[in-house]
Amino acid sequence: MEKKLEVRICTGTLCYVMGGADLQVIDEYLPEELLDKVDIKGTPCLDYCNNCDGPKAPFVKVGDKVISEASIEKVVTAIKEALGEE
Amino acid sequence: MNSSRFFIEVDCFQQRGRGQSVSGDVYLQKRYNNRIIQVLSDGAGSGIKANVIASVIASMAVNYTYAGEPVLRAAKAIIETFARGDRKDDVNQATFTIIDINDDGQVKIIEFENPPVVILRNGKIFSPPRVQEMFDVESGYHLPLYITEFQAEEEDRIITFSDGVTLSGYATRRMPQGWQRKGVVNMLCKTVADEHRISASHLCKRVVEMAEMNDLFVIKNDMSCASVYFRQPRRILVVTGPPFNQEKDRLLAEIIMQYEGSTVICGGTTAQIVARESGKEISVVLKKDASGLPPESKMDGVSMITEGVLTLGRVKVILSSIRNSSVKGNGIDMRLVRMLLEHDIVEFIVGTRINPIHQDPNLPVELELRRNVVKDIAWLLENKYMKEVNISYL
Repeated sequence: MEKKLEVRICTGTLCYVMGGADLQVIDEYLPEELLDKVDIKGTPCLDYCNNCDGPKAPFVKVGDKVISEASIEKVVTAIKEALGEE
Repeated sequence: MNSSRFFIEVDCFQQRGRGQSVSGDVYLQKRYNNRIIQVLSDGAGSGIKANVIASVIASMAVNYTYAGEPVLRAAKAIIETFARGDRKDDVNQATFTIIDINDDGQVKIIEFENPPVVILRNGKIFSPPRVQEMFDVESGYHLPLYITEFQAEEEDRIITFSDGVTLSGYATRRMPQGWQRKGVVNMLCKTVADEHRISASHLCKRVVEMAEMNDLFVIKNDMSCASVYFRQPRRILVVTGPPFNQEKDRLLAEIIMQYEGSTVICGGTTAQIVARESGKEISVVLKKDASGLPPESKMDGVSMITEGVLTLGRVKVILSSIRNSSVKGNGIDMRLVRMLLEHDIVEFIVGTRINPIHQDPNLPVELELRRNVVKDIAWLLENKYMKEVNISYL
């Protein structure tokens, strides 16, 4: 069986408050043919936020790539890219 | 505070008569140092007047009892505040039942014109000696006052109720004479036999719900039921926030895993620390929670894992706004509140490492400092819900 692409949505307080709440339903925005290929899970705080000058919340990990200021659009694009490359 | 061998759980549940804006039954409970005083008073008639009479009487009863005033003198002062006129009906303006318990389990019950209390020992009726004192009112009537004293043991229960409960169902086809005290007693014995560990809180709620059903859901008369339960304390540990010093991470994990009682972790980072130190896995239950809060997680060995400050902030709001211990709703905040209220001893461990990002003024919501929210919650649990609470910092 093919290994599914891991998508991890940070559910830490900061990410949640900065828009992470809306990302939880990302599976509703994925085209059907991609749904089987991804494993979408929540994850406790990834601690990427602890950097005042660095990238901003909310964070989502698509495979090994970290997406900052994540939006549904950005994450879906990242998923498609990751799957398209394989 | 509770240095005795058991925990004393005390609660009351009430429903108003249909169409009444306030209840004529008034319940007060106070915990003073080593003592708990419970008073139930039923004001004559219904509505505002009855409520005012009962409120004054209940308040006087609590304060006189606390001050150690001799019972008969206190009763005289209380009753004659409202007794006027020569007719017996005017004399008896209110009823009261006072239950005075100290932490060692010494119980004193004083009853005036309310349905007699029910005392259960190991699920069966227990009748310690009940002394009658005749009480003389100015106009020359004699009314009985009853005094009971006994030493409580673990698993004892005391249940008090107003006549709205015993008279429920009156004139219905099912029970034309009303539920009556013996009906209540039967129900209590059966319930306790079926559910040995039912809390005082749930028990008094069940009594009132049954009485409401007897009245075919159109409550005729204000009804109240108060309950005391002497039992082994139920403990819950709530941990929130990473330890200030990372060296204490392992200690925190050990404390949680070895705790005898329920355990809750509020905070993803904190949960991860515990998971890492104890070699367990966390999984986030990724679905939209009814509360709108971040989702809960699961880990073997921990009863509940929630997000941190947002959830605790919500818990504080709920605890300060609900009127009794009855909380409905499926959101994680409600479930955590229910869990807290089902326990007698609540212990908090607050990790004091501050996340500076939480204080960014540009955040769309204000995130309170964890330790302040916990202090507020602890205050509410102790003073509004009579829990034994302690907070330690790590």
